[in-house]
Amino acid sequence: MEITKTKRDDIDIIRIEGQLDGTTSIIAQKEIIPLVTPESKLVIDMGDCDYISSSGLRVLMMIGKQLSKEGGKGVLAKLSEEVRDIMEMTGFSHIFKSYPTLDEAIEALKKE
Amino acid sequence: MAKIILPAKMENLGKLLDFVRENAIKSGLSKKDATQVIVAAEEGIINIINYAYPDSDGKVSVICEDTGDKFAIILEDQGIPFDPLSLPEPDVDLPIEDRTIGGLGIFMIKNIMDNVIYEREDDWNIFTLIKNKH
Repeated sequence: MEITKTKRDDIDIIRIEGQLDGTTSIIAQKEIIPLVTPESKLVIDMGDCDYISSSGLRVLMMIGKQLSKEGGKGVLAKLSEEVRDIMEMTGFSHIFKSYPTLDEAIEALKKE
Repeated sequence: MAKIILPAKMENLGKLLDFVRENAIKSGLSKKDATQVIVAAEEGIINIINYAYPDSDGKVSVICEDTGDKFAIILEDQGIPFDPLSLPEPDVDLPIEDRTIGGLGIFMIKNIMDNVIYEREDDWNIFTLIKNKH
């Protein structure tokens, strides 16, 4: 798994490439949580992540909790069918909004 | 029937899941079903790695069985008796502030698989996860 961070305007774009499983989630947590600061805006680009386990979901939940505590916003973009199915099954589709493209995700964050 | 036995350590998780993936695909499950079955297997195996042997080293065995219309994964360990199905289910409809971090694994297993059975035989925990082929 690889994580790449870029910025567009004031929005952090975090791209997760590979599997978000029991072994890689710890790395994802360490890399992403520090980016959550007051009023931060995050897009998590999951276009190249085709697998998420409960460890991965736990990390997303921590990010979501941190965002709501700090007053930040976060959305997901480009979910694969496999990942979307799991998000729906576990109620994560209520926690994070998701958008089919990066541009739509960024637009949505700008409006909030 | 195919079987793999390895020390119940996080470093072996990848190997165990590759074994499940290989057998799930061989049994003819769709890509989507195979991915979900691996998610369920990962949850079960991580539980064993994290909790089965609190004071000692032990092994985990993973058996894959293709019965024609079903694909079964059987997870066995000789750790402390533990019925994963006894855990309370998380409320997945709560808003983020009220959601708790734990309990998701078993919930995912129950939702992914068509049948889940826990048995304790002699000093073995036997956790059987069954997926119907469509």
